[in-house]
Amino acid sequence: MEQGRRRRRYKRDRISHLPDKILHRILLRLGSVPAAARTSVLSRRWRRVWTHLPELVLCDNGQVRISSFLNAVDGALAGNSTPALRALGISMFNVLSPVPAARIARWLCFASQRVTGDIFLCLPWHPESPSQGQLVEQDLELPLCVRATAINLSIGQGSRQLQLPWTGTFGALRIQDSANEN
Amino acid sequence: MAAPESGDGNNGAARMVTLISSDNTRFEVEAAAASLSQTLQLTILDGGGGGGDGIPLPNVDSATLSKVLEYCIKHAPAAANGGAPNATAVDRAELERFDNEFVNIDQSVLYSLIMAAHNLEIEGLQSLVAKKVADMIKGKSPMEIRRTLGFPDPTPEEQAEMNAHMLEYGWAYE
Repeated sequence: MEQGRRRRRYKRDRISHLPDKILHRILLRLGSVPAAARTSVLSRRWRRVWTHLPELVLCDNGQVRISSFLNAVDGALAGNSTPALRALGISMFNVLSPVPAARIARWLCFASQRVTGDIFLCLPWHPESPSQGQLVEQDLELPLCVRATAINLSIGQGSRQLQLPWTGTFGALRIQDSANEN
Repeated sequence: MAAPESGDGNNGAARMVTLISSDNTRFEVEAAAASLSQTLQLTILDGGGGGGDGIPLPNVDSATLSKVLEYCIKHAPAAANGGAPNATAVDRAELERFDNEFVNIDQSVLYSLIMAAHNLEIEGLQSLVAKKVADMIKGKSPMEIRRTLGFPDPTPEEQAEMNAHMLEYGWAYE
């Protein structure tokens, strides 16, 4: 009887039988990479669905703790295994503390290897204590992104500079926009 | 019989096309409505589907096709206006009301509709059904999502697996 009920209720779940491509579209509509990643707990079927999302857009909407947001970005990048991402967006509009350059360097490195479409990175505009000098702003180096078609960087912080690679070409690039706010 | 017109020849009676479902039911609809399907659009532009021919749709049954066409007929006028940039607020509200009502359906019907929207490449409908499923998932805990989607209750082993998995994905729950 228990088995019968189990089986009958299971038949109701049709959504899990949709092709991955459609499930990706559904997960993108969640508008949150962490929410998409949480579906991996649902069942074995769902475990790897989010890891092949064709785009990753992370925004610190309503997220107050910078560590939570940075962990979400790192977790999302580590979990994604799409060889050619059509977009990677990381936007910080709410967190105000500076982000360590080494961390950003890892994101840019990921972007350079995996993104075949748009790269969008917006770092915090006004660090809480820019003058205290606890954290010396290291310059950022933009690695060669041979497959990206658009790069939009807003590195936001006073003394930080963006360095371009000495050699090589951004082969696929159509649009580049970078802002260094002072 | 009028020659098939390309372009937006809207004079006089609207051109009709026939679609044939997998279970052999024939549906006659305005070409403009059927053309919301990217898959059908080229065939229709080439003059297909008129007269006694009909376009066979081996992947879509009659119940689903009837539902799909209900959507297309409702949305065709706005689509003909190029996404209706000059539609009135009343028109848009009416379409939104229709859309909400339209996807208020049983999950098995929703599944067939999603597959059909995908096979026929009807952009607006694909977006509508994706949003519907996303709304079923949004803001819920994994257990609530499982219940909403109609999963069986987890076995103790599955539950243990889920707990371990949630620990591993701590960053997604912060």
